[in-house]
Amino acid sequence: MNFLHPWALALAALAAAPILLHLLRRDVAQRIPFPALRYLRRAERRTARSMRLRDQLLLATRILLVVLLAVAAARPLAGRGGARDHEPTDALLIVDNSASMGRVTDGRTLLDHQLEAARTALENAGPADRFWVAPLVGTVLAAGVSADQAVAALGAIEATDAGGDLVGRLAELTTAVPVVDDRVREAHVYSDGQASALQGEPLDLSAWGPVVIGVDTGGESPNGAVTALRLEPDGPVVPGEPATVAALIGITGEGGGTDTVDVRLIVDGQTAAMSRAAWGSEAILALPDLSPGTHSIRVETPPSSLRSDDGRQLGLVTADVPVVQFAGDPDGFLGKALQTLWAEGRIRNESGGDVPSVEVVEGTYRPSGPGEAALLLVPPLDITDLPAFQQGLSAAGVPWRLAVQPSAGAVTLGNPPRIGGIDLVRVSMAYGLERQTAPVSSVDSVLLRTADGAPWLVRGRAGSRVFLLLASPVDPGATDLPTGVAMIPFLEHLLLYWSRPGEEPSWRTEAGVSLALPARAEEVVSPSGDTVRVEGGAPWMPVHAGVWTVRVADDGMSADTPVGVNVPTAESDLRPASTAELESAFAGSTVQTVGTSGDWSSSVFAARRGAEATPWLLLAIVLLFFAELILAAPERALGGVGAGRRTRRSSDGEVTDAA
Amino acid sequence: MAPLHVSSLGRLDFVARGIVDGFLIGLHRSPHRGFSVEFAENRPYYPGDDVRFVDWKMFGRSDRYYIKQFEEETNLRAYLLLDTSQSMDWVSDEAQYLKKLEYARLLAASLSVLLLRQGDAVGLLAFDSEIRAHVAPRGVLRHLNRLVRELEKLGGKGGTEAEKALRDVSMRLRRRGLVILMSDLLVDPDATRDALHYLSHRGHEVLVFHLMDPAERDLPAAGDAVFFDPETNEELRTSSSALRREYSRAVAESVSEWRRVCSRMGADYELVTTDVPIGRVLRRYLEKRARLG
Repeated sequence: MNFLHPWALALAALAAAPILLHLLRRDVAQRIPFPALRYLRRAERRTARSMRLRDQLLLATRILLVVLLAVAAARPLAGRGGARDHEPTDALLIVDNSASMGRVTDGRTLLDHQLEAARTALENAGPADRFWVAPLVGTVLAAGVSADQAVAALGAIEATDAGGDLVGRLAELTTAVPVVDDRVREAHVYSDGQASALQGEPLDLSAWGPVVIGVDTGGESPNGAVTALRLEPDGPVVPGEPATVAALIGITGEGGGTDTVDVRLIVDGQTAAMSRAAWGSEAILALPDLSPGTHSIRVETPPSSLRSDDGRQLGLVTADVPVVQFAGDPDGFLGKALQTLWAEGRIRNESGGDVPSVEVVEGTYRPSGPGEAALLLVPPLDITDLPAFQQGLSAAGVPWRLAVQPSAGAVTLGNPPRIGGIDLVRVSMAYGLERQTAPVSSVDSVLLRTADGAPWLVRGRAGSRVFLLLASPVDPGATDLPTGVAMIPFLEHLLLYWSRPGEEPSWRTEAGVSLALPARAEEVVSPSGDTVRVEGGAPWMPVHAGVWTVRVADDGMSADTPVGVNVPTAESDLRPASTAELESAFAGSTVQTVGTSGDWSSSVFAARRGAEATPWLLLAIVLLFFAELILAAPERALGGVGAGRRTRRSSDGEVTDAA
Repeated sequence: MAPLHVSSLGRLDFVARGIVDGFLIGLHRSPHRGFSVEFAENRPYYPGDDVRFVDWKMFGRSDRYYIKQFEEETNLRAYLLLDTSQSMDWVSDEAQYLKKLEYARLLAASLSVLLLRQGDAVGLLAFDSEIRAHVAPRGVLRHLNRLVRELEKLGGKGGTEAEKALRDVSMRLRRRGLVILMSDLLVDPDATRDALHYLSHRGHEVLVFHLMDPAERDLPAAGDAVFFDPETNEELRTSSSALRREYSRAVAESVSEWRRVCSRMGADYELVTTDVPIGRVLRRYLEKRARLG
């Protein structure tokens, strides 16, 4: 048994008071003359037993009264108590708002169910409790707040199409809850208990109270999803050339309905193609001839358990076939690669009389007159040719210069774009790229860096022209790019997209994944059309699936870049984690799961301190008080024998009048 | 009027006369008629007196009515036995009641007036553990002064041995007489019962006034206290509050026992508490006497 005010138990020492009073009263008892003592003695003999019993009961009652008063003052706590009777607790509330929580049961999403469970659990909170509230995806909404404020914070939690890393999120947020000696820490997770949310290394929360995980699986129905999209050919889409979209149709869970499913291709909001594919296979859908510009591509299947992964989308930019003018060694690696692209029709040359849109210069640049073509400048391998190359840069108005720097050994490109094989490229020699005028203008951007952070490909404006400047010659002596599989895709990407005004031609990402916005990004437009102002270069994390648009300012012009944001593939696997998996993910911690209709109040606030027994004690005290009144009633009656002649025995034993 | 207030009106004989005159005059007739009448004295006429005994000669001389009184020799010789032990000298509440002894004195004086008016001879014997006072019976009104003087001299002290007084009276009464015992009966019951039986056996009428303070009859609550007997100084530590019911039972048993003993030997028994007006006690006495007549 615990006590809220244990010091008050010292008052129980007053239980000796009735005994002392009894003894004291014996010494000062009144002496009353009473001639008819024989009758009194006869009556006393008859009632001796019952009187002794009454006296003992009275003494016991009074002692018990004092003891109970002391115990009541100490406010005892008895039994395990209800959920409300717990030690002051710091609780971390994490609500899973990942895509899988968007499933609908009983007309409401799992997220709504679990938010209601969270509110119900908070009804058991006490005034001394503090709460940290955070969604699984998103920022912390409340820190160290009261239950009422926590309920308000729960109202701010929104569903997302992002994936969730439950273990990682707990690891991140548990550090935010301070360790206070006399406070219990608990983690309450309201989730669907998806197995795919248990990622990473096991998390040890043994210093915490129980990790209570509410698992609302929403039933075991199968879930169909478009789990991947792939463009054929795998590269920039050029108007007039056939292209297809391959969509992988997956299904999880048992009892998965029909063997095949309808698959629909939607381009810019219009159904462009339909097909039928077996679960687990790829549906190939032909893209229509797309005009140059940005396009929204979506492939979807009929609704299944989880609606948000029934479709998958990507943003697509189609460009005109660029007209490329080359100044360099036609037998060199760069010249041969360009010839390959010409041969494939991916680019054209100026022989047809077309005005070049891109001018590729390997070695020294010599201005041929005013033009609007973009410049791709590749430095010479021979260092003795570098001064002339620098002069060319100056003549072109490029504010960057090359510096000879010692080779630091082969490095890879850091954070490469989605270009096939580019992540395998190694750089063994690169000039240092230095801007002549500092600070770097906002119109310049470093498109690629080596793993040690040095700029490797920069882009900027030289007057009205876009320039691209490489730090390494396209030669095996400087990099294995020309001999690797990435050469043609890389070059095509340079010519079709990076040479154009604007930024990345197309992004594909997953909801909940943070990206760095382009340096000149100004605003982002959501799939529903809402526009949000953003800061260029800042991290951006879309949490809703769909085709987003990043609007980039480019020398007074604005260019849109579509970004296809999709539900992470892992979210489509709705299989709930087993108890063993949960225990493994939180090794060393006490993990309690609460089912769909589980009783949260019996699991949360586990550091119970018992129910306060004071009301019962007060009731017992009142009853004892009345018992004492009844037992002692005769003594309290008014009047007395020989009231006018009460006497005390003096020290010499003589009887004298008391008055 | 309460005995306490009545007693404060004046001297004992005056009060006793007042009681008798006010409540009982004319009711009492001696059941024993004498046969030898000798003039004794005159006294003022009181309404209700028999006009046959008006002394017309005195009326002619003084223009006032006087009643001729005769020393009537009757068969009734009454002895008033008064317990003057220390237990009688006690009162539970001086503000409300008389001490039992004071009450007994007043009752004795009143009975004396009553008996003397009737022409009976009245004697007095006061006792505690010894005979403390004795006045031989006489039947003249003058004798009242003597009786009252003796009564006023009595104070409560010593223990109680009623049987000694009873046996003494039985020796003194050669003819059949009336013995009125006024006591709280806190005595040796067996010895007293034997003495009463002896008296009764000798043909005397016996009347027992069992005097009790109201607090002796109904024990008030007094909490824990040490009770002591003023006569014996015996002590008892108890809570009177818890004993009240049993105490009443013990008193009732004792009263029943005395009543039964008296009844068996043909004696009258009357329980009298000191809050009862003397007149009412006398009326009860007279009613019993009337039944005898």
